Amino acid sequence: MGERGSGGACPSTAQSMNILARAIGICGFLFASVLMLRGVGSRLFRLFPLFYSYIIYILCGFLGMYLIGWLAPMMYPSAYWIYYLISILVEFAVLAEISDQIFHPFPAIRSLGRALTVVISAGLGLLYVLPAILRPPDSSPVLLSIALRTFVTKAIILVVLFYVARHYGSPLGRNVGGLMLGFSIYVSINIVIMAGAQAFGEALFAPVLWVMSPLASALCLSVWTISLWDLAPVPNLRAIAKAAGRDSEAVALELTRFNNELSKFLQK
Amino acid sequence: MITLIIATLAIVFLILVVGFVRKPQPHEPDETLMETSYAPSIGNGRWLDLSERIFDPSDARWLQEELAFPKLAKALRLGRKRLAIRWLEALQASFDDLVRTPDFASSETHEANSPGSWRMLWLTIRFKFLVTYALFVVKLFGPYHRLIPSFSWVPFSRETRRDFRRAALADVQNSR
Repeated sequence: MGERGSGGACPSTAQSMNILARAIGICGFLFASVLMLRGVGSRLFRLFPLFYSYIIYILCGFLGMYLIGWLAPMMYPSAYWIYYLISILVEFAVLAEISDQIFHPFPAIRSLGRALTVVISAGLGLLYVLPAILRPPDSSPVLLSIALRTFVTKAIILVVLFYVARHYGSPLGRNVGGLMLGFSIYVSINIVIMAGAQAFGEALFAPVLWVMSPLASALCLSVWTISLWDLAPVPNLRAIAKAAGRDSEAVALELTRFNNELSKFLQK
Repeated sequence: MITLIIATLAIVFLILVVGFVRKPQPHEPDETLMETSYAPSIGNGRWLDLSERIFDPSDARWLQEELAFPKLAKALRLGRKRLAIRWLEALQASFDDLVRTPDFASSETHEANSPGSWRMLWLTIRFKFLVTYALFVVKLFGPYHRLIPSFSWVPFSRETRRDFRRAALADVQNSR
């Protein structure tokens, strides 16, 4: 807790930061609650199941941490770090949801997003994140290093998904575009904070980290609340689907035919 | 220093993301329909006949060996190489159009993780890989090169071929 000033009337900087962080945290909680209520009220909850599972996790986590902080303050630090480590993993659910939604209208590459997410996560998890756990660097704390590397992995997945979506001309729409934008803001702010903490030392960055981390969450949740306020299908895509669309079985047959022809051609 | 670079990259990444999300959709519906009508169809028999002729080396051989026009044969090979590359690129474009065709059925009925969607993804990746390989071989060695490499130079392969020949000869002699 922060110390009081000489007069006892003004709170210290640390105390102000603490209050600010709590206020931002409560804002984030409110955004998440509104998002949840809107999702349950509309079809969005059914369309984005993984994403809303994550929102439920955030709401439960916030309430749980608040209760621990109130009833058993001694347990709070260890509970916080456990919650933080689980959150790093649970955030991959948002990436899985984004990757599922991007290519959903296209039957031939419907699973491409999920495949990319799994392959990149597994690859970077083994080659980039795991070494930080097995052989932690001396320059920075293990947890900071793991968190930074995990966020970099998430950013790489987002970049790849953006690139592939652009390559196939996949229209994102307001819902999925907002989901990606919000998560990108969250990931990039966290990378900047953690990279700064590694470069300039924790002592310098501890008060900033205390405020910036909930601020990143609140910003992300505000973007999600706006973009997922209601269901917004992509109008262009509907027109194309009506004019030239095929059902999944027809596409599967065509894909097989293309492959057979090419195989015959290669065997000549 | 590395962490600062990472931080800078994160900021650049965010700027790129904002730019990408704000960018208008590249394809108008009419445009896409026009593109699909240009792309050749795999079901079109004449188009497949064309590929047979492009990749058939008998014309060039006839010019070079029987009519003894090596320069003309070389020019024909070059022309066929260009045609083969264009044919493969057209095939790829046609396939990409198929991949980009949206499903007109309700979007809620299909799961991204169903076995059918994974199989279709496999077929898509397989085709992409094979067509890229074919383009690479045609660009590098020309249209008359074998696309699946011959292993006749491998001693084991030669032995096996000889064994097969011997077995075939033995069969013929036995049947007499």
